[in-house]
Amino acid sequence: MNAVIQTISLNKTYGKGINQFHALKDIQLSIYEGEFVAIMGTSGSGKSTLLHLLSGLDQPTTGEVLFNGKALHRLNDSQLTELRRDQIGFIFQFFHLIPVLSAEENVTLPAMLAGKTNQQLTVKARQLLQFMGIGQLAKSLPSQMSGGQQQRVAIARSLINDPKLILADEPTGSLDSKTSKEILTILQRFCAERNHSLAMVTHDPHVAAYADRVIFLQDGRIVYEHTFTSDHPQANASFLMKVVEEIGGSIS
Amino acid sequence: MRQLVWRFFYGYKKRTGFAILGVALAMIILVISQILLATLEQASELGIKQKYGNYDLMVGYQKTKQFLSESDIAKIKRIPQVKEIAPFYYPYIDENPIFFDGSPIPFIYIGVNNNPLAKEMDLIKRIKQGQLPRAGEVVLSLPYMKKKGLRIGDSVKIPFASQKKKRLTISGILHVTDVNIALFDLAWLQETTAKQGRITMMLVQLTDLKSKAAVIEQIRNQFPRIHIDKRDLIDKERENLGGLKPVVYGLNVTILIGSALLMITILQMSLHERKKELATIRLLGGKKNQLFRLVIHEAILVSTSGSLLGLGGGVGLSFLLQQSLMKWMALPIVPIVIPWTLILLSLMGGILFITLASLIPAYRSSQVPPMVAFRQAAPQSQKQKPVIKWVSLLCIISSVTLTIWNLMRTPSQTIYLVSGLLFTIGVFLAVSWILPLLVRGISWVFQLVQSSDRILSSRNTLRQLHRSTQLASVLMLAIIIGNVGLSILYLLKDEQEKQLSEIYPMEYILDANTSHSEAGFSEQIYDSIAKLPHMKAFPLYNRGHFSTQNLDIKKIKKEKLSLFPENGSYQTLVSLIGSDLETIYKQLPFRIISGQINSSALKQNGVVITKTFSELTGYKLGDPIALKEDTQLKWGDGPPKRITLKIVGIIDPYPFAPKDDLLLITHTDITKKIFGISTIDKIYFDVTKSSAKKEIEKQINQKLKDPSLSKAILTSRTEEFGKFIEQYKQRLWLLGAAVSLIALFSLLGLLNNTASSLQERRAEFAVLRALGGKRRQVLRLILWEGILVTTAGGFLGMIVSIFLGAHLIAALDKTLWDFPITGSLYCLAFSPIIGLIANFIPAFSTVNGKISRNLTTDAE
Repeated sequence: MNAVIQTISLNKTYGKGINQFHALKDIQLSIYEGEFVAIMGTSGSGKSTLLHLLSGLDQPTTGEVLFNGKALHRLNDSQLTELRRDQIGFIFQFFHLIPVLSAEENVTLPAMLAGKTNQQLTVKARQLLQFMGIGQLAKSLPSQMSGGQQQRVAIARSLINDPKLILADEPTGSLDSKTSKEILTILQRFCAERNHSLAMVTHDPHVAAYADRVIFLQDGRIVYEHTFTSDHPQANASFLMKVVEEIGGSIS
Repeated sequence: MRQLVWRFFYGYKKRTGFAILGVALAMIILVISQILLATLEQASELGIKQKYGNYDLMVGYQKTKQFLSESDIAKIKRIPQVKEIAPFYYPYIDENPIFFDGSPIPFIYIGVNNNPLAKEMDLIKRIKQGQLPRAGEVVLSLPYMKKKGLRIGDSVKIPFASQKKKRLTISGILHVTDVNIALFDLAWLQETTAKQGRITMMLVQLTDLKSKAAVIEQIRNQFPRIHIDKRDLIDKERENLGGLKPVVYGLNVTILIGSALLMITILQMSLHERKKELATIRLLGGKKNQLFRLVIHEAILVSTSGSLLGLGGGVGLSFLLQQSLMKWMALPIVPIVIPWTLILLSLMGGILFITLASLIPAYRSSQVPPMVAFRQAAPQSQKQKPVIKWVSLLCIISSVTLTIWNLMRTPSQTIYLVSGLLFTIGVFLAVSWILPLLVRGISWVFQLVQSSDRILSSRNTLRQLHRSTQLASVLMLAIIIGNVGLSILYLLKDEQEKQLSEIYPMEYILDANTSHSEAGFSEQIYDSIAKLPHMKAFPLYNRGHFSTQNLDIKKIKKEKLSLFPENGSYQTLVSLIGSDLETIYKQLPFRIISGQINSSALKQNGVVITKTFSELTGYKLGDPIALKEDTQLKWGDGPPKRITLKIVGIIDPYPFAPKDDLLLITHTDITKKIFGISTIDKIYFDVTKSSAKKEIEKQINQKLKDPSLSKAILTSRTEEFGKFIEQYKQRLWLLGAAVSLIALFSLLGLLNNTASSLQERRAEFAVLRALGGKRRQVLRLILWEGILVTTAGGFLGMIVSIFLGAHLIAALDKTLWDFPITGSLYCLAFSPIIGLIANFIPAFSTVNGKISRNLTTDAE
């Protein structure tokens, strides 16, 4: 299998002198086509920093991030922007929908930013919303939708450009457990059926249990990695809870 | 509480800085304008006193037989507003001229007291060598001294009318060139001519200029036939400054309003940003009035700091910019005068006004329940009450209806004024609902030619518009003041040009400046001027004043004529003037509506009337017009004479008189022979060779140094227009400064607003960047938001200024359509630039912010 994204000896340091803080230390990670990877860790373990480095939103102090074999640090701001727009989809904890745009317009936003405004895009956006089960809300504004509905719109938005990689930062963090399960099932289906790769940051073992593989970060290092063999989230979650206890950190 | 006020003040440095800057800018203008006015006032007074002398009236007679006695002088001195007098005595002003040593020019003898006020007279200032004469001394004019080789201290024999000669010592030299003058000690001259206590004229200095009219009235009551030189020319020069004051004060008030609006907006934003902190204070037991006081104290702190900064800045800039300011405003450069009391009072007034303005956000903030404050993520627009919406609509509709109705009838100027004001009030009340419509409209127009990401900026603009409504109003205010002010100034300039062309049918007017039935220039003087090289001159003879005797009351426009009862009927007062109409017609053509203007016809008791005269009085061609000399205003002695003249022609207009002047023009033979009017009131002239103008002016001014011509004034159209242009430039400059400052207020406010709004939406823009929005794309989106707000405000300002300006001009008796639209279009083109500049810095900072950091910002 080909690695969509790969990190080589990735380090990220903030501050200088005695205020220096190592957010990430020597991270070696590969995510393959169609793979769903959950990144777990305690608060401050470097999960979100890793996600930002993977997306090119932040630059590593040392090391490299390769996207389809291309080193991100060799790309300029404009090329990085285009890469994010065309190859990467984002899902955020707080959805970050644009409040003045309707669900349909929010979904087409990345395409809109790319200067594409054809009828096909609108049709695709509607199909995606339909697929998410909120086709009837296409013309609604975010303020008229529930949290779950908003996150569905955000997922549809992340898929509009058929990205190779989806980066999700606590996508269910603001949702109740029932809605969370629905969202995670959708994400799972996307990876399986459409061959998208997904890197998801979470602190919740019940959420990470939907992934194919899980990695644990502690103090900026990968301390544990596991590939699930079972398709049952419940069983995977129980396993992960044990691991959390063994590692000794409180993942909350 | 004090500590908390200080913490808030100091903690929000940028916001506080903006507010202080806004107040300081307003105060700087306030201080500079006060300094400018005080400096101008002083410079103007100094200039006037130096140029014309430090006295306010010249009172007396120009005849030897008429004089003021010692008791008369005492009466005048007793008038409370009279501060000082300086008496002069002319023993031979109109009879027994003294010629000596064969000189063809007679000597003018003048008795003068050695007092400071006497030295203010232009003639006395010309004693450049020596001193004023004491008893037994004389001051002689330079040509005579040179001719005779005399020096100060020499002894000279001076003849008097009594044929006696007196030996006197020369105490000084009078630097005049073309007249012979001998100055004596007043008391000595009175005694020598045996006219003790007699005074021909005196200079009067008043305690207060405002009392001039009252003093003139009191003197006239006691001495009805006395001549009073009111020194109108000086008052006219003072008028310029007087006219400048209301403009400066008006603009200062507008600037303060703009500053107060800016302060309200900044405070509102600042309170919104601290909503949670303020809510915490409330939850911890802070009372509503404590919160209210907190905001007020902060406003006082900001306005006081801004005022102090403005005071320093204003005084400093006045010194720094003094020369440039005076140059731009076409004013003389003089030392700066700082009216501290007035400045401090203005600053205190400004602080009070701005603090009062802050009551609105302070009250609103104190009234929000703490939990509501906690929950609100974005500032809630202050929803306008429906009644205000309806009132605004009513104002606009009524205004338009009134204008249409007014256009359909004989237009009333008052209705135009009311309609214009009603529309302006209506639009200002309607800003909060008209502005979104305009933003939508402008966005729609631009969407046709721009890419689709504009949808986002136009929707964001609409979402954030409630923050910017007041600032759009400030911009509107700037545009309205600029446009309307400019239009009125243009109109005044046009009017002045037209008026001057009417007053000055020729380039120069030499005005004898005499009162009714008082002799003007002699024909000899006219001849001496007309004979000058390159000269084209016309005399305007003094006019006789007559009452009509056969006015047909049925034919006249009663409301436009002042009538008085005579011989059982109503008559009116008209003027008769002798004129060579044929010659005038050749040089300054006018319309001959009917009849003729031949001298021969006029000599045979013919008269020409103007079209306006005919319309007002009902007299027609061929009608006889019976006249009787007015008893009060008649020329010469004897009973009033009567004459009947036949109307031989009707013209339009008579070039040397205003259109509505009730003037009859006949041949000079008639006015001279029958009524004894042979002097000239005004001499109109052109100099045909432009290079000779200066020399001619110089020669005429030399002639005017003759004391018998002391009242005469030489004015020119170019000079008069030049004076107006100076005033015009000053007003234009002030208007420009005020408009720029108000525009700057809106720019500062928008900058502050955008900074605050972008800070709240930083995650939103980070998402756009994360989703693939390029820096320049996001920058464009944010800039577009500013452009939309200011373009909408500018457009609305343009509409109001066109409507209001047109109506104000119509109210000033002009055509409704005279308003210059070009200026408004410039404003419209300029307004997006304000939005662009205001949004640039915060937009630039937003797009260059770290995306990953901004993304983690929780939605509040």
